[in-house]
Amino acid sequence: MAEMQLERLRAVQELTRVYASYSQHRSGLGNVLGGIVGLLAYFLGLLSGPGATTAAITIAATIGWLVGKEIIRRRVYQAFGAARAPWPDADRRLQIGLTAFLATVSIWVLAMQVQLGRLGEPRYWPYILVVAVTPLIAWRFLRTQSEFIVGVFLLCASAVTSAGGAYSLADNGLLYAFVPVAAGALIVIGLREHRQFLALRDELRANGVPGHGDDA
Amino acid sequence: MATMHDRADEPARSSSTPAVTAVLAIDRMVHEPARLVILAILNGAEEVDFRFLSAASGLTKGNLSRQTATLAEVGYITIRKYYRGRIPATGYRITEEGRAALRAYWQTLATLQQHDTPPDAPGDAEAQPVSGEDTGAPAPPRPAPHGA
Repeated sequence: MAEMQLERLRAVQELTRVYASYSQHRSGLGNVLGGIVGLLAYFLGLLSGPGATTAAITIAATIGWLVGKEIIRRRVYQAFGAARAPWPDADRRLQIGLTAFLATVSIWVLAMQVQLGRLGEPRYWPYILVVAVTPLIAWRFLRTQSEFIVGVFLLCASAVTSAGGAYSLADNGLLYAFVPVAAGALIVIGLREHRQFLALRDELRANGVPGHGDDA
Repeated sequence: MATMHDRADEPARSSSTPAVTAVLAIDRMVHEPARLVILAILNGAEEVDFRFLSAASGLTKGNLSRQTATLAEVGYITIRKYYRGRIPATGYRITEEGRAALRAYWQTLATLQQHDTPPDAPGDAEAQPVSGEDTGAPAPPRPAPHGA
């Protein structure tokens, strides 16, 4: 009897742990969306080159992903209520390290813009703005390594295209070829996480409590 | 603190076997099934809200409120009232004392499993009503199982 009780307790604890992980480092369909947006931005810049259309699509897709994955997180993955996962010290240190590195690069790029006298040129303001907010966005929204690679690429692509540039084949060749690999990984990871969540959702529904959209 | 809640009488421990000692050491604050499930859920996350706690435990709202209040009173969990947008919400966290109590409880169960003996079979002398139980009078003490 004690063994059965222990098993049930472990099961409910594990269910909570997995469910809560979708509040932090699992994004499921948000990852799938990020992978698709990453591939779109990469091949758009690579094949179309610079231009207003490339800039508009890249920036809109990046913002759409960042907003969309948070909406997906709340509406789909926290549909049975909010459960926040603990943030392990090792993950926190990694996030601090990556963000600090990004902040250093941002400061260096911003210093270059000041040196080049671009602060007074309105056409560079979107570029400067994106560079300035990139570390903050990375800290708040990019919690896994694949997410970080794709997210930072998208932010950089947004900054570059807003200033009339692009990561085109002519200018950069296949320098950023790691991006589609990371984007593909993000899609695979996202699909796997979503499948795991569906199983979890069934377990929670078995308790008779509806989530968002169940209309029960 | 974790070992102070509603324990069985201390004098009985001096002459008891390890298994009996383990039973007597059970923290009844944790042992109650609804509270045990709540603690196990909270142990799996940093913070959960009332809605998830209800979904994961399957407990009714009234029972959940009562049990969480009890756990908060003894310091095993903390309750935080806040607003999510304009909607009031309640967050629950397990404290270090709560984690320690849950860990101790699980260790106790593990100890009991090590000393596991089959439950009394029907027809066993010990399974029969002990004289006095029907009348409400105190039953005589039962011997501890051998080898436990």
